[in-house]
Amino acid sequence: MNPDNQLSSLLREWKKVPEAGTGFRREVWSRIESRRHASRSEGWLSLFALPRFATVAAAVAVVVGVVAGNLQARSAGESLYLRSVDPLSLHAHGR
Amino acid sequence: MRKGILALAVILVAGVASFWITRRCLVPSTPTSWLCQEYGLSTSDVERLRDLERSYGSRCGPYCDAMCEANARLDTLTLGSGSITPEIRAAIAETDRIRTETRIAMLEHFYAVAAQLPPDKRRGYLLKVLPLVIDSCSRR
Repeated sequence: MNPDNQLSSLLREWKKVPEAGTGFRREVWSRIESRRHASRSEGWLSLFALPRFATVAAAVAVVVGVVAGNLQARSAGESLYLRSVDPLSLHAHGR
Repeated sequence: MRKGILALAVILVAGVASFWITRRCLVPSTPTSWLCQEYGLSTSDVERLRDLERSYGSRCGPYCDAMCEANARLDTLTLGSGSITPEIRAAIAETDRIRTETRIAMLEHFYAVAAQLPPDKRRGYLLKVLPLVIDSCSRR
């Protein structure tokens, strides 16, 4: 076969476009969705990487922790007192 | 993203740490300390309250022991019988008698403690402690 015929034969083969398998489209959209999802969740997490935001968030966390700790300590103290003045409760715990 | 996760983790740790440190520092070591902190009492008030607590404590012990004995007797009688006997009735009446005396002693103590508190705080204190006396049976 001469080179021109070989080339023509190759070019003819090249024009054949393979068909997509079943579910190909579905898979492509599913991958697009999951990447979109990943970039959305990266979005709010990346806020914490900003120094100013992180500082404010840390300050809020500390204040909330202190308030909660204060309330919990008062509640624990009250329970301690009430148990101490109830002899029947002491009796129940001692059984 | 890794930086954000790390920062979030540090913030959460800071919040939890502040909670535990505050709680550890503020939890009262004794019941009387709670009373003093909660109602803003002075040193002289604290001494009077400690005396009241000691006197009440010496009355509590016998009630606690008496109730243990009475309940142990009731346990033995009820488990050893298939019906209510006069002994079981008497044992139940005995536990009721002890419970009544205990409740009266508790109420006397609560009134004595309330009298040591600032007038505007007495009602708040009684609201906290009276359920021990008024509803003490149903909570057990």
